[in-house]
Formats: sequence, C-alpha cells, structure tokens
Amino acid sequence: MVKKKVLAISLLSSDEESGPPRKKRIVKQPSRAKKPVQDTGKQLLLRPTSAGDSRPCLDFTSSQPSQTDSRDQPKASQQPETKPAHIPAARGDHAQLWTEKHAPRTRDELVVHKDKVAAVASWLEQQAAPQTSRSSCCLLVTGPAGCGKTSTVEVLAREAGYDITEWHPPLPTLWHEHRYQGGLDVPYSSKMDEFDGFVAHAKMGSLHLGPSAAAAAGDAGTELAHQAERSMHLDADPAGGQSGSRGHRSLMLVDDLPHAQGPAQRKRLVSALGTLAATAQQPVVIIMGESGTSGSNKDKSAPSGPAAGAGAGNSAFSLPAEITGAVTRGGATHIQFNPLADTFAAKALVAVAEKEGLRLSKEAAKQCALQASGDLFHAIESLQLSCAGKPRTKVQASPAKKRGRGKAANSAAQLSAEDVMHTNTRDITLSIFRVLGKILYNKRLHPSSQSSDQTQEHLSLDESSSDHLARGLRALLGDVDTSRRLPMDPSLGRPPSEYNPEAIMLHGGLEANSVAAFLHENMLHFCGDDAVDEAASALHYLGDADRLLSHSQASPSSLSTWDADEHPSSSFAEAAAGSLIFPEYSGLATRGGGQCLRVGGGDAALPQNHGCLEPLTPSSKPVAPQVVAHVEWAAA
Amino acid sequence: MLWIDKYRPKRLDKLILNQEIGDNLSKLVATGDCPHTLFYGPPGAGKKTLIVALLREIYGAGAEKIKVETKPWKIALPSRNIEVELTTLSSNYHVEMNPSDVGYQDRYVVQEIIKEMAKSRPLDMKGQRGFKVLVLNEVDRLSKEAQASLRRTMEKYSAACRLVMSCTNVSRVIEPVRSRCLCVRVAAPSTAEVQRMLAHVAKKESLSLPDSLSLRVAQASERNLRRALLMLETCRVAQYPFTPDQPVQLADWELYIQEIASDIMQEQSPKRLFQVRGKLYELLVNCLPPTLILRKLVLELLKKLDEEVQHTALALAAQYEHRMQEGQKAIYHLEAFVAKFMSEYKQWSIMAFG
Amino acid sequence: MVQPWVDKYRPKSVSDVAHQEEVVQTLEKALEGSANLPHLLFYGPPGTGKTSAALAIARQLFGPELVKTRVMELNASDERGIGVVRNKIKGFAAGAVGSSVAGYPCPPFKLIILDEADSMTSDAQNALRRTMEAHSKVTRFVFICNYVSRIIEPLASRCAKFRFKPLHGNIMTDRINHICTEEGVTMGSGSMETLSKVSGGDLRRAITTLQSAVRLQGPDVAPATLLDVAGAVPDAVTSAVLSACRSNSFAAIQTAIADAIAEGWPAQAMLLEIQAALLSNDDDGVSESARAGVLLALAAADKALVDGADEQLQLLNVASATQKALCASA
Repeated sequence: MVKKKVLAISLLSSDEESGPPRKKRIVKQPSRAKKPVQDTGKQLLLRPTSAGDSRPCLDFTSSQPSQTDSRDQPKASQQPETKPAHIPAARGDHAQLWTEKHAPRTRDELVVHKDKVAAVASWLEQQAAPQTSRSSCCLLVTGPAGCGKTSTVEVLAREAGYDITEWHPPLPTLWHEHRYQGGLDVPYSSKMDEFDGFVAHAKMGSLHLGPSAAAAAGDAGTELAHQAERSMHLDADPAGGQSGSRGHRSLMLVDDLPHAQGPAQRKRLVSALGTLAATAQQPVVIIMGESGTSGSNKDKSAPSGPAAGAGAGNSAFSLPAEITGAVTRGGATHIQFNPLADTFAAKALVAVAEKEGLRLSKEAAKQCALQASGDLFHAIESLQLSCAGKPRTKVQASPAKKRGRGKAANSAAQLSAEDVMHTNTRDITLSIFRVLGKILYNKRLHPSSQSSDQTQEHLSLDESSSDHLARGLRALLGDVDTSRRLPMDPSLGRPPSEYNPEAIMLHGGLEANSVAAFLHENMLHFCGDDAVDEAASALHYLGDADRLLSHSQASPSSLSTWDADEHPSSSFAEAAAGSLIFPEYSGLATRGGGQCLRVGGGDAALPQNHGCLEPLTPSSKPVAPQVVAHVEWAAA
Repeated sequence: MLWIDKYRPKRLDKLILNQEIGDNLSKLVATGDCPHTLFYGPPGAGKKTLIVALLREIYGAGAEKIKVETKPWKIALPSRNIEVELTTLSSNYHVEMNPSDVGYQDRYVVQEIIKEMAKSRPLDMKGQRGFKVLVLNEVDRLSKEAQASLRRTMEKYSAACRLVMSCTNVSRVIEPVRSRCLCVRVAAPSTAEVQRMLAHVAKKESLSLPDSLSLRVAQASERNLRRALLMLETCRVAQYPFTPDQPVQLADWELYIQEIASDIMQEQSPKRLFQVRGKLYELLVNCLPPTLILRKLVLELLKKLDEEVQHTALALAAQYEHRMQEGQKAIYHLEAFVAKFMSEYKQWSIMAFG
Repeated sequence: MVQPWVDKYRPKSVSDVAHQEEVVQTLEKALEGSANLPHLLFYGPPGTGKTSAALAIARQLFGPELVKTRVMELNASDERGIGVVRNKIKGFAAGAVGSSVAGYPCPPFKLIILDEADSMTSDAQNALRRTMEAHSKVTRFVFICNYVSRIIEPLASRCAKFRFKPLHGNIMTDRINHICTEEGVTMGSGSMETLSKVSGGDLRRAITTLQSAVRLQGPDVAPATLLDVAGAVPDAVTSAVLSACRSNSFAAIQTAIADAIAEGWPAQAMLLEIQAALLSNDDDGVSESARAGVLLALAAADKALVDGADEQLQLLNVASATQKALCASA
C-alpha cells in the first residue's frame, strides 16, 4: 500500500515545478480505479492543501514520511542503482513537515491577533475556576482555515496545563470500501454515528472515554481503524506527559467536524453539537473552519458562497451559521478568528525559513503569504514545496541543498519570489460577486512604482503564476511566441491591471456565459457620465463573447461529426480581432485548429470579458458603489 | 373572428391578390403534377392564404377540417433517444408545423414526421391523392443541417409526401433545397392594392371608409395587408363612423420603439443607455423578434438624422444585426448598437455644433 | 410526380457528356480497353456533368440490368458519418460479383459513386481510405466533388483526377433546345438568354429552372417566369436601386430598397445583380477604388445574409455604401 502511495506521489512531486494544483487530481484518478482501498490514504495526503488545517493531525503524519520519500523517489527511479539507504538518510532530516516542525510552541510564537489570544486564554482561565461559576464549558472557535485556531487553542491549553484529548473522526470507512471488505464483517458506521457516540460519552463526563469512544466506534478491526485508534492515543499522550503532574485538567478538542450532507444529516450534526455545548462536563473546544470563499487577504470578507476546501463547515452556506447558533444557544462562548494579515503571515514565513536555514526575501514571503490568502498552513506548505523543488534536483545531499539554496537566494532574491510563484496557489474559489468586483473595479498597479521594465516583469509573472491553462495550451501548441505583442494604442496605455483576468476566471470557476451576463448587467453603473464610447466598445466585446460562446456550444450539439474546417477559423479570427489587448490569445488563435475550438473558443471569449472593461477606466472613475463586492469590501 | 381570418380567400379561384399565381397553381394541380413548393415573400403578402387555398384545391373541403395537436415525438437516434414536443396543425391530408420551434433538434423532427406521414400514406383511390402534404412554415429558420437532411428526404419520400414551404428570407434556404422546389415569389400588395382590399372588406362589413383614412392606413401598413386589416379593425373599434382625419393607431411596440428612438436622440450617456436597456428588455420580454426591434429602431432613428449620420447609423445597424444572428443573447447586440450609435452621434454633434 | 428532366435527359453514354472533351476522351479510352478503371475523382463547378459522367460510365460498363447490383450511388453529404460510410460500403463491397451480361464489358468489380464527397468529414474520408484499400480488388470508387481541396490528400492521390469545365452559353443552348423540342416547349424571345444568365454555366440549374417555369406557366416560357422561378431579379429592380444610389439622397435609397423587399426579391440575387451592373459599365466615372469598396460591402453583406442577417438592413447598407462611392467620385 505504501509503495503505491509513493509511486503516486512521485509523479506528483516531479510535477512540482510546473505543478498546478489540478495535476494532483489527475494523479489520483488512476489508482482509485485500480483499488478502492487506496482512497483513504490518498485523501489524507491531499487533505492539507485543501482543508488547510492549521495543525496536522496525526493520522496525516502517519502518511507523511512517504511524502518526503517521494522527493527522493523520482531520482531513484531515474537511477535505479542508487542505494535505498539513501532515502532513510534524507528522511531523518526532512521527514517532518515544516508546518509541524515549526508549529508554535509558545504564546509568543503565535501569529494570531493579541486580542483573540487573550480571549482564548481567559476562557481557559475561566474553565480552571471552580465549576459553579461557569454556564457552559464549551468554546466555539471559528475562523477561516489556516488562521491558527487550533494552534492557539493548543498552545494556550498546554500553557494552562490542560490535557488535550482530541476527537478525531476515525479514519473514514468509505461505503464502497466497506463493501469491498465485506467479508471482514466490518460494521459500517458513518462518521456521524461515531460523532453521536462521542457526544454521548462526553455527557457522561469521563475524560478517558474520549479516546476509547472513538476507538470503540471506529473499532473496525481493520488496519485503518487501528491507525485511527493509535492516532487517538498519540494525540492525548504528549499533552498528558507534559501536564500530567499538574492535576489532570483536561480539555476536549473537536477539530474535525463530521461531514454532513443533506438536510437530515445537517440537522443531526447541529443538534449533536447543541447537546454537546449544553451538556458537556469538561471543557470542550469546538473548532470550526469557515471555509469561506476567499480572495486575496486584502479584501477578505464575509464567509459566504460555496466552500472551496474541505473544511468542516463546507457542506452548505448556512451550516456554519446554524452550528454557531446551536452551540451558542447551548451556552458556549464564541470566539471568531479573522484571517491572518499578509504581513503577519509573511513574518511567520520568514521566521520558518530562518529556522530552516534559508534566506527568504521579503518579497517572496509576501508573495507566498498573498497566494495563501491568509492561510498560514498552506503558506508554509507551499514554502516547503518550493524550497524542496529546484535545488533538490541538482544537489543531492541535504546540507548541500541548503547551501545551494542559500546561494541562489543570495544571488537573486527575485528568483526566490519566482520560485514561490511556481508553487501551487491555493485553489480558491471566488464568488461571482468578487469576480465581478475585481473585473469591474479593475484596480491598477500604481504607475509611479512601475518602470516599463517592471511592467513587463509583472506581466510575465502574471502569466507564469496562474495562467496554467494558457500555459498548458501553449505547451500543447508548441512554442507560441509570446514576446511578439501586437501594437497597442498608446492612448489606452495605462499601468497593468492588478489582477490577471484569466486567473480570476480560472478561480471563479464560473461559466463564461454567466460571467458575461453579470458583467453586462452591472457594467453600465461603472461608466462615467461621458463614457458612452467606452460603454459602446465594452458592449461590442460582450457581443463578441456571445458570438464565440454560441459557436463553442453549437459544436457539441450538432451530432453529425462536424466539419471543423470553416467555423473555427472564422471564430478564431474574430477572437484575434477582438482581443487585441491579449496578444497571447491571438497567437493561439491563428494556430488553433479544430480540436481546441472548445477550449480556445470558450476561453478566447474570456479575455474579451476583461477586454471590455479595459477601456472603461481611463475616463470613468468607478462611480456607483452598487455591487455587492463593494459591500464585502466595506465589511472586510 | 378577426377580419383578417374572416375575409381570407379560401379557394384559389377566389383570390383577389396574387391571382396570377393562383391561376398557375390551379393549372398545376389540374395536371396532377404537384411538385414541392416554396413560397417566399415579405410578411403579409399572402403566402399563408395561398397555401391554404392550394391545399383546398388539392384535397377539397376535407383539408379545412383542422385539428391542433401538441404531442411529444419520440425520436430514436443511434446514440440516444430524444423527445421533442411539437405543436402541429393537421387534417386528414396534411400536417402543418413550425419546425424552427424545436431549436437545434429540428432536423430529427422533420425527418421523423415525414417518416410518420409516409407510413400512414393514404391510398391512391377514389380520386384521392396518393400523397400527403407537409406544410413547413418559416423554413428559413431551419438550421442548415435540417435543411440538408430535408433535401434527401424530399427525394426519398417524394412519393408519399410533398412539401409546401414558406419563408420570408429566401437567402437562408440552401440552394439544393431551392433547386428541388418550385419557387414561387409572392410580392407584397402595392399601396393601391391594399387600399382596394380595405375598401373590399369595408364593403363586406358595410362600413363607409373615407378615402383619406384608407390611404393613411395603407401607408402605415408598409404594404403589409395583414397589418392594414388589423389597423383598420382597431380604428373601427376606436371610433365609428370613421372620420377622414381619424388617427391611425400604430401597434404598441411601434410607439414604444419610437419612444426609445427619441430617448436616444435626446441624450447620449451610459445612464440613458441604462434606461434604454430597460425598454429593450421590455420589448424582448413581449416576444418581439430582436431583428424586428433593431430594424424598426434604426428606421425610426433614420427619420431624425442628418444625411451624413444616416449612413453611419445604417452601417452600424447592419453590422450589429449580423452579429446578433451569430450570437444568442440578442440584448448584448441591441445594446451595443445603441451604445455605438450614441457614441457616434455624440461625436458627430460635437463636430457639427462644437 | 413527373420525372425530373435532369434525370430524363441525362447523357446516356460518356461521349454524350457535353463540353468536357479531354475528360470524355480519356474516359472512353479507358472504357474501350481492358475496362480496368482506376479510382476516379471528378471535380468542377456544379452542373457541369460530373454525376452524369459517372452514371454514364456505370451504364456503359455494366448495362442497364447489372447497374442495380453492381453500382452504388451514395450521396455523401446526407449520410456522412464514419459509420455510415464504413458499413454501407463494406456491406456493398462484400457481396460477390455475379455473372456478366453480354454486350457490356462487365469488369469484375463494383462501382461506388460518392457524390458530394467534399462535404464528408475528414474523419469519414480517412475511414474511407482504409475501406478503399481493404476492398480494392472488388471495388472502384468514383468521387464527385466541387472543391478538390476538400478531399484529403491520401484519398485524392489514389484517384485519377478529372476537372470539369464550366459550360459555355452555346453548349447549354444546344441542350436546352434539344429538351425544348422533346418536351414541346417554346421559348419566348429573350428567354434563352435569360436562362443562361440565370443559370450561370450550371446546366442542371438551367434544366430545373426550365422545368419549373413550364410547370408553373405552361409550355410558353417567358423571361419573367424564368426569373421568378430562379429567384433572380429583373434588371428594372436593380436599375431602380442603382439610380437611387446615384441620386445622392438617402431617402431615395430607403424607398427603393423598401420596395424591392416588399416585392419579395431575394436579397442575395439582388447583390449579384448590383455587382454585375457595377462591373459592366466602366464609363460611369467611378474610380476603381470606390468600385472595390462597394464590392467589399457586397461581399460582407453576402456573408451576413448567409449567416441569416436581415435582408432589408443588409441591402440598405450596401446601397448606402454604393451611394457614397458613386457620389463621392461623381
């Protein structure tokens, strides 16, 4: 099993350099088809990036060494002669994930806002006080992923001398896996059943039932369940070891809420949590990730919209709200964490890098933090990834790697920033309103800080960082000369846009059609009173988008194998003419054949969605604060 | 019953307009030779009347017993089955449909219905015809694929089924289909002819119709007989007895478009554009074809413009109407036209008046 | 239904195919000899006798009886999927070659005529190539298309290519006269000219137009009927539009176009007429570049019309462009 895992990951890490997040999914697919048991392992591996827990849980750790292995694996596969002894050596140094290795140990190391730290600390104090004075012994901590919820609670609890017992959902028994192992007479129990069991135990007030409850529930007799059990004990152990002498105050931590799907399940979860909050006999901390849709940290806002990651509350919009309601009605204290500020995150990153003996330029740190959008966990992950990437292929021994890395960092700080750029950005989903807001407000980089050189730089950065699709296409179609740009009307010249429209579209995950419709609906409000011309060209571009989209939709609908000869060429010619502002597409356009019509046709329309807004800004200031994006702005 | 239905000639020999075509058609039917036929011409010229009369000529009064039927057609394709709901008008002898109603699946529908008709073919006895007639309206709105498949079907099933088609824009019918049909051009009645028809109807209704009113109605109808009759009927409802200076009521949508045109002329700004958008939506919601809206709008604008700008406006209209056909969301293109026109007009007026 | 004259008066033998001397010579030689034909590819404008030639070959090779079993005519544009091509052809080619009939060469292969091969998808063409190879012993293909460039290279290279030239006026006149005498049709004065103008070198079109006109109006054919039936536009209409264009008054062209539309004249035919009128008189003082500008507008309008644009707007636009060109240079 482990071997297979490694194989899968080695594919993964060889992709690191160009590695768009989606590749992981591609890797995952084939092995799933082969063996369903594989699933659980894979899921866990993938979890940190998507779930973005602030603290790795131990069942994750158990699979983690193999991830480090994998770094060496491609090498091994290239040179089969390499002694396997090599790998353990590497493991000793690098086995740990940085997120764990450099997890905050003391209150000072926390990067969370002081007030929040104080709030949690005071709650813990309160719990320590005699039983009579408190109403409920439940604390609900909410906040976006990776903002340090769990770390804060853990660090503070440890300092206050608590034993931490964590309820982990035992490793999920997937339904089809259960069927696969049907012969082993494993009783199938959903996570929800297990959680209910846990809540029931918590009511009883016996601390030590915590782990055994989970163990009992997950007592599957299978290897997987054992693993879960082990992880349970491990969780409790270090804390117990430390504070054992200090009179066994214990704290129960519910970090990973069971996944609830459908109204019935959700109701059950909510009521279970409510019960827990109302009846718990010892201090319980419930940590709930608000996996909101998050853009860049700057205009971080209310957690609305469908969730991006696999955070606990992602099953529906209102679930977090429901839970919060139920739990606070149960008398629990509620502390809400905000996403980490970029500067905080950057500082933390630099600190981590220092500990690793790397030099991280400020810019790179900032970039990394920005990409992680307030998720420190993810930021560190990607930092590790980017630092492990390039030098690794050149220099084999790990100390040498550090030096090489250092040198690289010395010689060109910019390079490290670029490296960071190459790591996978967190797969953020932008809500429709944010997409619109970004496009319609169309903020520009400050002109004074830009020499023309830098402009170029910025553009190329933009392309390399997030426009995977375009890059992929470019790779597919051979070397399209992107440096050959079409001449641009100097009167339209203005500092480059702060956002890359393709990236926005990519993250928006929205249909081009609906984006166009929304843009059309809202754009007029963003035109100045004199800007009829701009409005006209914007509408013209929208029309182009419509035409192209109609073409791309027509092709699947006509069932006859459709002669791709004529239509693409005409529609691509249109694309080329329409998207003067995006020369890379015109490059694609001329080369695009019948095959990439659907990709190209659909996507060529997108720059026009943006292109239509290009002319808007020069003469027209954004006037009406109409769009919800603005409200979100204000809220942030 | 509307006058337009009430006074529709039922038989080829009773035609008032297009008599010549009627004569030729009855000659054709008399020889027993009845090819596929395609009637083309502007709306309100009498295509529908000709078709109905032709059917009656072929089959006698039986063709007038018509039932309206909406039924789902289950069509088995090699890869999947589709179900299309379609409303047809049918008698024992013919089926009439608007194949363009079913969108891109039109080709299957056309083929399926023709096959069905071929199955239930009437026997060639007792003076009956050995074929049925499929009337396809708006054949110019059929997709190219459907037209291509039509062409094969026309040959394959010609023994069992004849097609009678009508369209306004004959350019949109592919050449192979046209060459397999007898193409009959139906010209719109001249203004004088419209007046004659109005007088005819007025006489039948025993109304006294002043000449000047009938002239104005005929002019406002733009040589569209159907519109002329509807207008006359509206006038009758509005005021009777007629007076020579009675206002001729235009249709609501026309007034609305006139309003939009004057809106556009008054002010050229995004704000005004936004208001115009609302009105355009209003028209679209009322199922007015976008092409008609755009055409009418530009004609209204042309009335108000200097010659110099007229050319520009027209070029824009032609451009955006074409784009509209290529796309799917008419509102983008309508609005783009309005915006572009505003922009051009504004530039021109700054140039002209400083 | 009366048999279409196009079929009725199809050339019975290769030598009857009008005006394609080179093609006829080569083909006849091939037929006289061992009757071992290569695959054939006929291309050229519509109505020049490609299908007729193919059918004539079939008839000459197998005689009227055997044609039914030995020859398959496929209209590629109607059933053009790969599957159709493969299965139909496979099924047909698989059958055994039966005995021969006296008086005809009856070579031991079957003939597959693929009409309008250029509208086959390139996938289907590729599939066809395999099929050709697989059955090359027992089948010969005749591809018929308008544009040889639409046939994929591997297919085209396996065939002997024959180009069919557009027909000249007098050849067409001969044919039409022949049909007229056979059918008892009298052509009114100017009818023949109109017919050849309307059909533009396409004999099939000329014959179908003639037949339609006869159907509609009886055996005395007048030019106006021909125009009507062919959907062509009489000169009067075009000249009215053009004179409006010369008038330098926008209102004039508006009325002219509105009238033309109301009369139901097809817009595409109008464009052709305007183009012809514009090119025919050189002495109207219009500069070459202005003329070219109008032609561009015409081309754009034609494309728009094919895409389904509104006839009136497109025509108006063309007229306005013409007016600008004419009046600017006048």
